[in-house]
Amino acid sequence: MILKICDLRVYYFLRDKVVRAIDKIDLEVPEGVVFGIVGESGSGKSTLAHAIIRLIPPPGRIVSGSIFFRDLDLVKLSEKELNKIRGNRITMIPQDPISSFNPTVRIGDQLLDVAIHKLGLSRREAAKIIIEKLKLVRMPSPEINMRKYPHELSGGMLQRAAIAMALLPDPDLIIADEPTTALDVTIQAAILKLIRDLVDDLKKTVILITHNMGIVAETCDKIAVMYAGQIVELGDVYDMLSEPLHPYTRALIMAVPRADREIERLEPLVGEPPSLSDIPRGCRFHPRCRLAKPICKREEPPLRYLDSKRAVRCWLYV
Amino acid sequence: MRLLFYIARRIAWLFFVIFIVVTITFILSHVVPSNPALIWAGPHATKQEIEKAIKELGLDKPLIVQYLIYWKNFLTGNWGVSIHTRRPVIEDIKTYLPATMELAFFAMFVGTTLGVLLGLISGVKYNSVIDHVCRIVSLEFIAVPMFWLGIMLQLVLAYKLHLLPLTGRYDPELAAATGFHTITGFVLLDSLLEGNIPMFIDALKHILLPGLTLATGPFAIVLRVTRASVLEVLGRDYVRHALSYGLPRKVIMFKYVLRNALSPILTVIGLEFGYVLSGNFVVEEVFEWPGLGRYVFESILNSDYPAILGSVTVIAIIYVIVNLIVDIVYALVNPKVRY
Amino acid sequence: MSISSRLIYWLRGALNTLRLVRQSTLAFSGLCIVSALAFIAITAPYIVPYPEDIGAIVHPSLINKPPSLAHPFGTDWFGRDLLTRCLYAARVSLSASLIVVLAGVCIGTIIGLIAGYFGGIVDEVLMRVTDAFLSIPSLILAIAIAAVLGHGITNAIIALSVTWWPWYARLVRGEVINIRNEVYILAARAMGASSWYIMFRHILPNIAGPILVNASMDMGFAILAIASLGFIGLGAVPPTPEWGSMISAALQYGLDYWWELVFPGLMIFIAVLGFNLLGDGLRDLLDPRFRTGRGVPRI
Repeated sequence: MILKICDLRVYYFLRDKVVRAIDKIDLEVPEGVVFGIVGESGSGKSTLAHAIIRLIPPPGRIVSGSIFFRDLDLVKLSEKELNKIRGNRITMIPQDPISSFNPTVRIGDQLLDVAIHKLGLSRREAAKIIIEKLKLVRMPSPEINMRKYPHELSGGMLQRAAIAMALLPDPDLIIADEPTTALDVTIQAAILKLIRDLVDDLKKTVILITHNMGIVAETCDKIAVMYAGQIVELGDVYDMLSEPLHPYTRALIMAVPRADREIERLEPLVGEPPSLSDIPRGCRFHPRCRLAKPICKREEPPLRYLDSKRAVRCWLYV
Repeated sequence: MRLLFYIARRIAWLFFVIFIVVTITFILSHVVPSNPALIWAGPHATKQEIEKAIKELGLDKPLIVQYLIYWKNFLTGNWGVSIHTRRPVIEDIKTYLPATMELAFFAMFVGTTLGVLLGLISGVKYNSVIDHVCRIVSLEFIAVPMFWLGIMLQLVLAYKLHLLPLTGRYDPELAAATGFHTITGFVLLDSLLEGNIPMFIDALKHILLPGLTLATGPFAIVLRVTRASVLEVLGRDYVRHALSYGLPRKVIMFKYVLRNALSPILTVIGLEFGYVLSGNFVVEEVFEWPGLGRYVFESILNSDYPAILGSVTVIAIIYVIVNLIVDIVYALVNPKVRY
Repeated sequence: MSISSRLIYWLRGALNTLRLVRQSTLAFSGLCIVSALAFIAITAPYIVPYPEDIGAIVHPSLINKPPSLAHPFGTDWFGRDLLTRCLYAARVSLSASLIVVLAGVCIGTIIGLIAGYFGGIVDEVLMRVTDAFLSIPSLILAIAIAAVLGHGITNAIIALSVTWWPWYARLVRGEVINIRNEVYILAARAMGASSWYIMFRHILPNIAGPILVNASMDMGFAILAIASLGFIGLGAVPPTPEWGSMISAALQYGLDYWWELVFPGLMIFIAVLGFNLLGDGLRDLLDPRFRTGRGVPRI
C-alpha cells in the first residue's frame, strides 16, 4: 500500500455552523494503479485530495484520523518535514491549469523553481531535465514554449506543462484533481491518455479525482465513490461498472450515455446532494434513494467489505 | 513592440495633462481675477508697471491670442517675476526645487519600503497581533494632519529632548568648516559622493523629522493596499499550487505573492507621490525646510501669484512624470501589458 | 408603494445597517465619534463655556495660560478659552467639509451618469478630462485656486469643491456601465422612458451605496484638506476659529505654549479618525472578504 487513510475527518468551522466536508473516511491505495475518486461536486473529493498533503485552508481543519504515506503519518508530521514530501514524493496536477500557473513568471521558470528548490539542481541540470520531461508529456517545441508566459499558451499545453512539473521530482504518488474539467473535450482524451501512461510506462501511482464516470471507465484501475463526505462504495473498476451495488453508484453509471448498451429505462437521480452542514440522519443517501428501507432513516450503515477488494456502505448488503 | 506603443501612449498622455495644467493656470491667472495685469505686476505696482504688464501680457488682444502668448511664455521659461523675491519665478524654482525633491524622495522611499514590507507581513499573517497593530497604526497615520504631527515630533524630540535638530536642512557652520558645496542640490547625495561623512550625518539628522512626518501618509496607504492585494492573491490557484509543491516560503512570498500583488501597490505609490508633494507645502513650513513648499507659503502671504502658479505648475508636471515612470514599471512587471 | 410603506421600508433598512454597524467595534466607535462631533457642531454656540471668546476679544490677564480647571485646554495669545474655540471650530470644519463633499458628489455624479449612460464620444471626452484632473494632485490645484480667489473659508470651499469631483465621476461611471445593460433598465427603455427618468429613477438609487461609503471616508479627507488650507493661510479668516489656522497662528509664538498646538490638532485627528473608521467599517460590511480572510491559506 502506498497510501492508507484511517478514520479521516476534515471539518470547516464557520461562525454559526460546522461543515463536515470529510467524515470517517477509510481508504487504501495500492501501488502502481490509477485510483479514481468519484463524486458530485460538494461531495468532499477535492477536500480529500488537499487533505492528503495537508493544504486545507482555514477555517478548515483535520479533526482526527491518520494518513499513512508508506509508513509516515502525514497528519503528525511537522510543516518542515511535510515540505520534504510535498513536491518531492507527492505532486499535484491542478484542476484548472490556466489559473494554476503564476501569470507573471515564464512557464520554464516555474518548472525551474521546483527543480532548483526541491531537487537542489543547478540551473543547467534543471533545464536539461525540464526539457526531457516536457518531451515526455509530448509538449511541442519545449525549448520555445518554456520561455512563454502562461497567458500565451492554451489550456491543454499548460496542463501538459503541469504534468511535466508533477513528474520533475520523480514522485511516488501523483494527485490529479479533476485534471480535465477545465479543458476542451477534444483535449481531455489526450490528457487522460497521458495520465494512464504515467502508470503503465513509468510505474507511478495516480489518484484521479473526477465527477465523470466516463473518465473513470477509461482511465482507472480501482475506484472509490464518495457521497456527502463519505465513501459509499469501492472496488476494482471492472466489477464496479459491470455490477454496481450501491444505488448511488448505479445512478452515476446510468447517467453516462453509452452506445453499446441498450438501456431499458433511464434512472434519473432525483433531488440534490445534502448540505454538508446539515447532513440527514441515518444513511446520508436515503432521501434520494428509491430502495430506502425504514432502517435507512434511523441508522447509518457501516462500510462493509464483501471480499478483500469490494466494499459498500448500504443496508441492502448487510 | 507593444511595450513601445504603450510607452508612446503614456507620453502622449503626459503632454495632454501638461496641456490641461497650463490651461487651468491660464484660466486662473487671466480669467478669474478681475485684473490680471495687477496680478502679473503685483499688488504694489505703479501705473506704468501695470500698463507695461498689460502690453506684455497682450491683455488688449482677444482671449485666444492671450492664450497663445501664455503658451509661448510658458515654453520659453518666461514665467513672470516673483513679487517677494524680485527674481524671475523660474530662477526661484530652480533654487528651491532640489530641497523639496530630496525631502519627497526620502519620504517616499522610507514610507513605501516599510509599507510594502509590513503590508506583506500583515496580509500573510492576517488576523494576527501584528496585523491588528498595523491596521490601527495605519488608520491613525491616515487621520493625523501632517503639519500637526510634524509640530508634535518637533516639540518632543527636538525642543524638549534635544535629540534632533529643530529646523533647517543642515548646519551652515559645519558646511563652511568642511568646505561643502552642493552640485546637484541634493545635500544627502552630494555629501555622500564627496565622502563628507560628518556633513552626510548632519544632513540625515536634519531630514529625519520632516522626512518621517511626510512618510506617514505613503506608509499607511501603501500598507493597507499591500495587505488587501496580498490577501486577494493568497486565495489564487497558483499560490495553492506552489504551496502543494512545498516551495520555500521566501520564494512563495516574493515570487508568487508579492509579484502578483504589485500592480495596485504601484498605482497607489504613484498617487501617494502627489500626497507627499502637497504635504511638502505644510511640512516645509513647520521645519523651515528651504524648499518650494516654503516658497509657496511665503508667496501666499504676499499674494505673489506668478510665484504660486509657477510653482504649482512645476509640482504638477513632476507628479505626472513620476506617474509616467510608475506606469512604465507597471508594464515591466506585468507581462500581459508588455506583450 | 405608498409613502408610509416606503417610509417603513427605509426605516427598516436604516435599522438593519445600524445593527450591522454595532457588530463591528471599529465602525461603531467611528459612528459614536461622528455623532458626538455632529452634536457639538450643531449646538456649539450654546454649549461652549465662554461664548464671547468665539469672536475677536482680548483678555489681557489670561494670555497664554496653560490648561487649568477653568480653562481645560488653556488659553490662547489673546487670552481666549481654547476649549471654546476648539469646539466651535468643529462647526466651521464640519460644515465646510460637508459642503465640499456634497459638491464633489453632485458634480461627480452628474458627470459620471452622463458619461456612463450615453457612452461613445461624450464618455470619451468627459473621462479624458476627468483622468487629466486625477493626474494632477488635487490639494495642490486647490491651493492654486484658493490663492487666486483670495483668503476666506468660502474661497477654500470653492477651491476644494472644484477639485473634489473626479473620483466620484469615475466611481459613478463604472457603476452605471455595470448596470446599464441590466434587464430592468432595458425594459424601462423599451417602454419609452426618457434617459433622465431612467438615470434618476433606476440607476441613481442603485449606486447610492458605494457613493455613501466613499463620501463617509471622504469627509475625513475633506476635514484634513480644510485644515491644511487653513494652516497655510488659505482658510477661515480670524477671528473665526478653525483648527488649521489656530495651529498656524499659535506656531508664530514658538513651541512654549504647547497646549495651543496640541489641542486643535487632536480635534482634527479625532474628527478624521471618526469618519475614516465609519467609512472603513461600512466598506468591510459590504465586502467582508478582507476581514475574515476565509479560504486564504496560511503560509
